[in-house]
Amino acid sequence: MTHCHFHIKNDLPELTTFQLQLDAFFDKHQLCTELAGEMMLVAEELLVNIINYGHTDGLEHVIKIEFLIKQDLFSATLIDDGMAFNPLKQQLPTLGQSIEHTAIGGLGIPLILSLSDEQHYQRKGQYNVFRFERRVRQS
Amino acid sequence: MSLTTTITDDKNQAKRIALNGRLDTITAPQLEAELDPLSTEVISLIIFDMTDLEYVSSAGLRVIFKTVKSMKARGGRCGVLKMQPQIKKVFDIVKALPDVPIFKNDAEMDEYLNHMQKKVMDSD
Repeated sequence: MTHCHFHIKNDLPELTTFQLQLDAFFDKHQLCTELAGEMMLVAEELLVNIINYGHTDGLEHVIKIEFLIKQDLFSATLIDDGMAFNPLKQQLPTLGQSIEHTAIGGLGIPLILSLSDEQHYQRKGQYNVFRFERRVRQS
Repeated sequence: MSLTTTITDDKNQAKRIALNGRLDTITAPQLEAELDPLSTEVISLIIFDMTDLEYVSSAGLRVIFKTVKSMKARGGRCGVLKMQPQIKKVFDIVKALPDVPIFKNDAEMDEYLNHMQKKVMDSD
């Protein structure tokens, strides 16, 4: 088992920092790079929500992140001190409609659910703790 | 995280929007701003050339869908040229673009444009 901890600020350009850390982690453990793109996508959908809607005080906050690889299982945990928000309890958009009726918002949740194998949310004190997992293979 | 957009004229009042790089939360507003001026032009078809698009997130999908809806409301259409597998996977998950033609290559797209041109000439 090996893991990596780091943190980013609640600022959208910090997504680049996240991506660099994720790519380096996948590279170090010789994991399939195509999966790194999919894990980035899951994380982007979650982080953008935290950054845009998690806080209303206009202050800088820190989002803690942990990557973990155990055998063939990759997991990422995001911890933020924003308002309580469980992405898994949000209403899913209706998909597959004609373009006039296609939702242009709320598409992040279907992507999170489809591209990760497991998702867990917990409110721990003043923190949202969200973990997602994905079976990985070596490249 | 960067996106390069190249907009070129194609036949039959069509515009080709070539996307190179990543269409994500950071770059989606840039694409939206580049597409804005097109809303006042007479355009029959917008083709998103995704040959060199490496990554798309829901923020990018939102800009594409908005354009498709807007074009349809104006009596035009949108099409997509060459999606890489990881991009197609994202579109498949959200079951998007049910009535948008997807061209595997330039030849397929040219055939579609020629067919459109013939329809216009036949109706004149």
